[in-house]
Amino acid sequence: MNESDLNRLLQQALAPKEFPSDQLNQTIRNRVQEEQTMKRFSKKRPLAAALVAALVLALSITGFASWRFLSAGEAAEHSGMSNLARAFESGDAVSVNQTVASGGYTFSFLGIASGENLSGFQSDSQVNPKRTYAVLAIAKTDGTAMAADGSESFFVSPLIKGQKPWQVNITTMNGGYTEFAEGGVLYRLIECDDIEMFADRGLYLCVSTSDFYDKNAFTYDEETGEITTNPDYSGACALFDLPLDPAKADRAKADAYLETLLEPWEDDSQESSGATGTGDWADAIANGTVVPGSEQAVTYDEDGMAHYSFGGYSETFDPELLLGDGSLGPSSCASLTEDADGNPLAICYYRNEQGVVMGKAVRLQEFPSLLKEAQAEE
Amino acid sequence: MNIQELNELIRLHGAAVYSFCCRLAANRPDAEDLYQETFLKATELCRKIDRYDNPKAFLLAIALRLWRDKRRKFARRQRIAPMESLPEDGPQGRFTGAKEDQPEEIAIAREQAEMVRRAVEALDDAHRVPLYLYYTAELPIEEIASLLKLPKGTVKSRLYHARKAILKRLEAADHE
Repeated sequence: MNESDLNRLLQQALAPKEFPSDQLNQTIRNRVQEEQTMKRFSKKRPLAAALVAALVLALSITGFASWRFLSAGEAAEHSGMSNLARAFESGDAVSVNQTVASGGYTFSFLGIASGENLSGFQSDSQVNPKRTYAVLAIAKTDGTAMAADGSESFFVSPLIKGQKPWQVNITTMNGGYTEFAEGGVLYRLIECDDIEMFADRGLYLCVSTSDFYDKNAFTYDEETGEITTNPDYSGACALFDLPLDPAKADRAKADAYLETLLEPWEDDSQESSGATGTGDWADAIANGTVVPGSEQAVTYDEDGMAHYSFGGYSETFDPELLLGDGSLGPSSCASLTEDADGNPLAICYYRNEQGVVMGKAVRLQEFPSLLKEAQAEE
Repeated sequence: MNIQELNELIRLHGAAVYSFCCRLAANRPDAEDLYQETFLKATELCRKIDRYDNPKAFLLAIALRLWRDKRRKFARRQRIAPMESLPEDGPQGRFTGAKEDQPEEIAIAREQAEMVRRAVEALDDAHRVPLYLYYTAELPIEEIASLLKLPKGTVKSRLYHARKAILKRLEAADHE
């Protein structure tokens, strides 16, 4: 069996042949509808959106008269989270009440509750002291009423000074949100993993008119770690400081959290732990000797698969898969075989400056240690 | 995300996500749980997903993360019954040479496919998951790299090594 056959065999064996039943999909729809019914309320108060907008317009990035909006606690209550509402109304939560106007919207940061302050309100699953909750109100400056129908996209997220915002945001911090419209104002209640542990680093709450974090909306200074809004952003964006108590920071816990959050899903250490790992091949190959006559250009079959043979060894492979589409230099992995005397040979490939894919056999001084272990197991 | 958007997501990506869940979970009830939780998590995150933001990769990433979080629950050793089966009309690939009127060839092809699946299951996660993303979810290498937070070259390397390991296993089985 050659590489081409194997590719087809894998396609055949692993191709998506399974289909979810209609019943399963309907179950998902039902559960989503149930949850949305529980979470979303769209009671319309007679308060005119235009009045709200006009009053908010009179303010810029300053405090606002909080009676115009629901409080953070009222917003949580409205979302059916009564315990969280009580937490927001308690003295431990932080009431922010700042408004920023941008791109036709006014964003009002109402309040935040986080960490141990929530532990007294944890009588059900609504409130988790390991989470942070915040409420933002969004209104249109032209007085048009906002609706909670998903027709307008907003990305609302805590950000951490010194951490790349496209890496560390509500999405990666296991976040989510609930929203509802009230009196022409959209209220968004967000939650994510507890960020109190970062309180000594500087925290922000960002909002932009996008589905995901938008690099165009904010600027990240790699040297200072500062995050700022981009005044040239085509949409609307705002950034608030999150006023959490620095005394509640936990640097060790925060570092451990970031380490977990930022680590690749598939740890590279697994690369050398499995039977297919490359282990110390690179060193072994670097210290090896190219077998005279083995260095030659590969040939291609009708499917574009590359073929290399030398002595009794032959191999067919997908050159694009091994060497990338046109990049020069060696492949990141090699095949291991033995010569007639049982000495280890590495078959290596590279693309030379003329773009030709070359193969060569490198005689190794000894089997790489990982492979020796594998051989011993066999 | 409203119900219409959810329906669209299911229509466009349900099969790929479900097949991917089947490969990861390896038995039907766990796969259905994983599939269901994936879409519920997607709606819970409430991000408005439109087709231009690569919702397929987004859903697969959720499925993978949920699977990793619940690995014990979906432990492969707790497999109840293998779910994989080839269509009744047999495989169509030229590698088998199977024809519909040759039941013996079809049986051989099925056995061959099952051997491949077992060989893939024997790989460690670092090599198995990219294979599923490539062949089952049919994601391009660039998107697999982005989803797994790995360099593109590492994904290629893992696919290559995985295929080599499978080939070696299949050849060993041929000699038995």
